[in-house]
Amino acid sequence: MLRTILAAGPANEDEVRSDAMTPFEQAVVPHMDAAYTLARYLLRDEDEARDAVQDAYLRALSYFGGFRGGDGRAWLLAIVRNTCRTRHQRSRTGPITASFDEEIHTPEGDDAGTAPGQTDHVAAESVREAVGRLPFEFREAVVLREVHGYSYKEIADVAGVPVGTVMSRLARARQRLRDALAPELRRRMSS
Amino acid sequence: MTCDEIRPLIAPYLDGELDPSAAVSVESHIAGCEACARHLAELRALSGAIRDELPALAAPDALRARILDAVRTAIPAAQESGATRQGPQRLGAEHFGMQRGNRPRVRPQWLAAAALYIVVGAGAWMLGVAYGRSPDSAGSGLRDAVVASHVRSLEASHLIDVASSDRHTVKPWFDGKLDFSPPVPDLTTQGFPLVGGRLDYLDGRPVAALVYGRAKHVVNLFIWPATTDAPHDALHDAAPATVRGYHIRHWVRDGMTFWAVSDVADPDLDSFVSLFQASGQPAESVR
Repeated sequence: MLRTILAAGPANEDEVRSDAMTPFEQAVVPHMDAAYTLARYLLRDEDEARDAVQDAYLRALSYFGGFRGGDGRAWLLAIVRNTCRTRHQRSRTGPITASFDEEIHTPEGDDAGTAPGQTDHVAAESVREAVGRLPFEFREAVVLREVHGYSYKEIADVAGVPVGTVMSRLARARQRLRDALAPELRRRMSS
Repeated sequence: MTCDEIRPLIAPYLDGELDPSAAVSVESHIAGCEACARHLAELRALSGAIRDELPALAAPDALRARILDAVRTAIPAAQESGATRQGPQRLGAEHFGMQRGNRPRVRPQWLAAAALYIVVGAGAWMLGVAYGRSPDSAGSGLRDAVVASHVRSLEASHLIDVASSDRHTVKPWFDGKLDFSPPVPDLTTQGFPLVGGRLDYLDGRPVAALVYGRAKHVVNLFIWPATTDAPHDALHDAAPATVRGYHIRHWVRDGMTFWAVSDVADPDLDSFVSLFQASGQPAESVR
């Protein structure tokens, strides 16, 4: 009667196994879209994003014994985030170097690559590009806030930093985006 | 308040992160300050632009299939024989290597890592099964887990995810977070005001935790669908128990299993249980 049916995607026949859903399938598997969305916007490359999500699920499987309830989505996204961070650092500088310091971080020279996406939509490209140029920690705060709709506390949990740090990252990220997207924002405000 | 004081509050205001009194301060300032109103409008436009242009995405079907396949293969394989029969390397190769035909890069060290995750993960999962999956009639394992959750919830800032004495706030909060809708009766007039709710994890699944107050004490009520289809309106009360000084009551009704834990006096917890049961709010499965 009370069967668990998860919105885990296309219902091909071997996915309709609601009677034998394992805890991992219940708590973690349904959040694959959220995981992919985060990875896709944190990493520049679609293949990288797929690999990161797959990698994150393997890690999640191995850490699941330590999962003590609560929000399975936030728990998974923290793993996705860490996986992306590692890949991002590896792709930028080879070995992982000093930790990120937003006080000395400058906009230039960080993530100068272009954001992925179609080129037929100018506004989309410029917004995506601007977000893609943000430093990793700023970008994740913006994506988790605006795309995933996370609270400051939830973002802090995923990123593993205090709420105050989240607020400061968001404020600085938004300042940069407002500068970069000023014409687009004027257009939106006047329409 | 001055513009300098209000400015840093505008983004948190937009994000719904201010408490009501601070939100009122921002609103009243903005009503009379064009510059700050413009700042808010800009932030709102930025938020709209990001939401429009960075939509939530669906995981590609091939990726989804690959992960589901791996998860389902890894778990039963490990269950059977500690993952030795299937062989971790074969798992890794089949599910993560071979199907990536469009990607010529082969990374053996990655496959080895994948295999390790599966073996370790499957072991952890089995431990979870052994520990958490006790039957509804409640082995002491589950009872201890319920008490442990109660104790953990009393540690600072872990008690509630949604703080509200209004059941019309708490009940909908669980929508989309759980695959069932727990009953959330208002027992304020009977001396057990609703404090809020949170998600918890028990018996190998996400569960609803309702928090009721009683003077300075807290009652945690954990609710999740019963694992066996209990007969309609069946009510089997387990014997009252006390673990580490916390009183426990357990019952099953309408296909839901209930665990109440508290340090209130025994008779108080009994009256809480009767009041809750008498409130007659049915639970519903959703989706």
